[in-house]
Amino acid sequence: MIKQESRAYFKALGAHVTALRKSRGMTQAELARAIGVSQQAVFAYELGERRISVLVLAKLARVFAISVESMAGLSKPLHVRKGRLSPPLCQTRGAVAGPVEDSTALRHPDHRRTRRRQLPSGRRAMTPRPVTDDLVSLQQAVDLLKVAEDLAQPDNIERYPGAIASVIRSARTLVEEVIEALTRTSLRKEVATDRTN
Amino acid sequence: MSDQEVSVRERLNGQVRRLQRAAAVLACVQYVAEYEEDFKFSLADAVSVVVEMIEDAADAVSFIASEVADTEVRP
Repeated sequence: MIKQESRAYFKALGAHVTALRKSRGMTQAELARAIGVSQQAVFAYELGERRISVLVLAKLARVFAISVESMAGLSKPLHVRKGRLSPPLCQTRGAVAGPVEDSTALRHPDHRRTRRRQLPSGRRAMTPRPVTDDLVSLQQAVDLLKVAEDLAQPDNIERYPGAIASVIRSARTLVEEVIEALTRTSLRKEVATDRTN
Repeated sequence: MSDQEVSVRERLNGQVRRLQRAAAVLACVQYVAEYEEDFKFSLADAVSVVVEMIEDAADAVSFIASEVADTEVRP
């Protein structure tokens, strides 16, 4: 049973887990297999009805390829702009699935990127994403693939069959996003050159 | 565009091609993981090959970015 004062935190943490799971295209069953708990446990975690132990938190952070600090919502707090994200932005990797104000208890560094993209003027949305973001995404992809590599070891492969493909799919999405971003960077340079000439 | 900018763009394109190759291999690995029961015992090796490909490309992109930043900082 969760104490009243902890309830809000675990509810927010559960919402955070749901958003991360959906952003990685995983089902509750796949996540459950990846962290070695039952699907019912994942269901209860996401509703905030069950405490998430430190051990499970570390496993979740590993599967989602983020730090435990980010997973627990202990990262540096950011000023979160109030307002609802449009549906496509809600589906953005790392974005909160739902109203931004719901996430005040748990703020993830990726929210900064989401806020930049949601501005209506369109000017900032066209701002090129820094290469450091691409490098972070590549590192996340590598971390995910290392999880997949562990899951694909002969001892584990029969235990987590669905999770392996799911983790690989998430890593592939990250790599494809980086390819797209780097290609745009390269094209922008060409266009800028043509205009100069 | 200066020679250096051309060089940066070409090198960046080279890394994009390497990442595209890694993504293509990853797509095959994903297919095997999803549909091919018989090949699953070599999945870990295949994944580790892709990890190396991505890490190499990431190192190269990081190096190019640091070079560009270094040049921009210089007077």
